[in-house]
Parts: sequence; C-alpha cells; structure tokens
Amino acid sequence: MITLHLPDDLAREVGMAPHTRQPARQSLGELLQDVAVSSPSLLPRIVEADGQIRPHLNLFVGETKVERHKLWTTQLKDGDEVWLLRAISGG
Amino acid sequence: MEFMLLVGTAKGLFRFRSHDRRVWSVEGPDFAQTPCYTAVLDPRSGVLFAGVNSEFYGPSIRRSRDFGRTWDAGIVPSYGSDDEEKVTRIWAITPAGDDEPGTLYAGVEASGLFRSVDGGDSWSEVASLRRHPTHELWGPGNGGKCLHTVLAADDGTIYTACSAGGAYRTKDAGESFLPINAGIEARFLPEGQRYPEAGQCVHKIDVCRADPARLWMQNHGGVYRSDDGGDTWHEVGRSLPGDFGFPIVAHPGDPDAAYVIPLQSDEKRWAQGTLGVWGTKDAGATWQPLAAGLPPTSYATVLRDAMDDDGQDALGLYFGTTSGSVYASADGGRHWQEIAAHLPRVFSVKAAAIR
Repeated sequence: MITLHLPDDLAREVGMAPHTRQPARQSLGELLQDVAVSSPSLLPRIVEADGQIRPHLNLFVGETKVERHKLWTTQLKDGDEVWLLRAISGG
Repeated sequence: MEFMLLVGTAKGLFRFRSHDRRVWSVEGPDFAQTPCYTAVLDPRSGVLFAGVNSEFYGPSIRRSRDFGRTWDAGIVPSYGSDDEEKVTRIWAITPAGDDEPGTLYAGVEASGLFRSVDGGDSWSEVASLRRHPTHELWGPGNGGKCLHTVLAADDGTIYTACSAGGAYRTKDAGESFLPINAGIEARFLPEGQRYPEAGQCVHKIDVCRADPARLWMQNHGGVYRSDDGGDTWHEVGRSLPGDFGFPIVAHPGDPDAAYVIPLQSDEKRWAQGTLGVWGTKDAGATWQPLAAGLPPTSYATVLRDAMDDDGQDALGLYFGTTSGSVYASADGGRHWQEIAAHLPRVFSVKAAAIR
C-alpha cells in the first residue's frame, strides 16, 4: 500500500480524507489516476493539461521531490509515502 | 424581494443580502484565502456560479444550489494537452438567454471562451474565437491575457471583450466571431497604428437590456458608445474628469444612460478628488458626478468587474474598491452608503434580485 498525504484545504475541497492508503501502483501518475476514479476533481487540481504538476505544488515521494514533468515516470514501490504540499506564499 | 451582492475578493467570496437595499447582512468568505474573480446568480435556475482561481490548484468553476451555503468541487476547464495556451483564471461567467436554459458562457485567461449546455456539469471551449485570424494581435494587459467580459444580449447576440484583444461579436452562437473595434483607439501603440482591427485593451463593455444594439465601453483610455451593436463606436468621455477607468455599467432600461468611475489617468489610477461615479442620461453628451456619501479623498481603484446594477426601476448601483470597501446606492447613484470596509481587494461585485 502507498500512503497519500494531501493538504487539508485540497482534501476538503474534493471531499477526500487528507491521509489515505492506496493500492500500490507502478508510477505516481497512475496512483493519482486511480484516486481520481472516486474523486474526479482531484487530478486537474494537481496536474495541468500538458501532464505536468502545477507549478506551485510540490510532490514528494519519501524524501525525494518529484520534478514537474516526471509525474508519469516516477516509480513507486509498496510502502512509499507520497506528500503533496503547497508552495510557501505570502499575502 | 431579496437582494444579493456577490463580492469576489482576493481572499474569497463574500455574500451580502438585504430586503431593503439599505441594511445588509454578510456571509463568507467562501473559498477562504483563494482569489474569486467573479460570481453570479443564474436567474433562470437560482444556482450560484463562482470563478475561483487558486494559485496552487488552478482555476475552477464552482456551483451552489443553496445560495452559497455549500459549493460543489467544480469543474477545472482546460485546453488540449498540446495547446500553446493554458487556462489559468476564470474571469467571467454569464448565463445565456431564457430560451437556452442550460447554457452558460465563461471567459477565461488566457483569452478563451467556454460554454456549458448542461447547466455547468461540463464545459467545452468555443474554439472559433481563439482561431480567429486576428487572435495573433492579442497580448496580455496588466491583468493578464484575459477574456474578462461575456455579454448575452436579449436578441441572442454574444459579445466578448479581452484585454488586450478587443471586442468581438457572434450572432450564430459562436460558430463565427467578428471583431468590433472600429474607431477604438489603442493609445499604447505607436502613432499611425492606433486603430487596429483587434488588440485594443478594452477594460469593460456593457449592453443595454432594453436596446441590445446600444453598447458602452470603458477602454484603456477613452469611453465609447455604439448604437449599432459594435459596428461603429463614438468617443463620449471627453468631458469626464478622466477617461481612464475600468468598469462601465449600462442602465438596463434607458439606452441613453450609463455609469463610469473615472480615474485620473493610466499613470495615476485613482480619482481626482472624490472617488465618484459619473452618470450620463444623454448618451454621453454630458456627465454628472454622483458622489454623495462617497469619500472625498481616495487612492483606491475600482476594477473592471467591481460595479453592477440590480435591474430595478429605482436602480440600485454597487461598487467595490481595491482598498476593500463596498458602496451601495438604492437611488441610481444619488446617494451612497458604505456597506462594507476593510475587505480584501475587491475584484468583482455582482447584484441580483431574488424573487
């Protein structure tokens, strides 16, 4: 299983729990696609139309930050922790 | 009858309600800490729509079926994966006419028009607008390359306006668009090139409900009137204290009446003296200040979507400022009261009457 951690505001907005356990998948993109089956509004809030991670979001697999264009090529393994975090901001 | 003001701000949507247009209650902010560029009540269905532009999660069009108590997760409109442009903000949401009950339009940044024919369940691009040959003349204004205005006139005509792309018109439900910018000056272009077919920095247009051919435009410099649905324009703002500004509101029942909020100039975007609404009743030949109750000195700006009317015979007028105040008048602008202060920067004010 893989644990997916979402920011509280996003989880509220799309009607999900902020921390969920998901069946293991080969890539990060596939994992999010799976989650989007039950929460279809999640994926477009994380991924832009060109398949890249939105510029003011950070995705980590464990301690490794995923580059914007590597959503579909980032490999996952059972037991991984995936963190989605908002960029820091002011105002 | 109850009145609702939907006030979109940099930190969410505030909903004001009143039975007499003098005493207002306020709820919100909805979408806290997230910019809301527009919100509108669809009078045909009673559904609220909001354009919510998260800097983190992108833009979404949200719906509420209970006057804002709850909102759905919404739709995130997008272009195709290989498109050169991206949808980055929702600027306008406009219900179509009564004869198309499930149809709504949305203006987005960058420069696109979307349509829903199922009451907002799904949205798709009206692609003919961005495919128009003059699209290459469009560029981003200070607010972005935004299609900020979509007007659905009672005769079925759809008008759009983009900063900086100009105004366009379709009479065949978006199959084709015609640029309607003849006579509109683009002062930011070199001399001799200031009247292009498209590319003007239109700040706002509005159409008179009683006369769908009567349009008003606040341009990036210059106030204009059209008597023929945008085929030709006449500059009518020379007698104003400044012809720079953002919003313009057409009187819904009187084609010769309109309202603007003049700022000094492009270089000084605040009022000269009193922050005032100016109104005309003679098609722009003369303008009168409507400032009773407004602050004598203000450095605030009123942005393009931050003024509206409520369509009543005793016309209610409303506007919000970048310094977080909202002003209301129940008598066509003769008297104003500040109904809110210290809100976040106000992006939009939309008024509606709930029967």
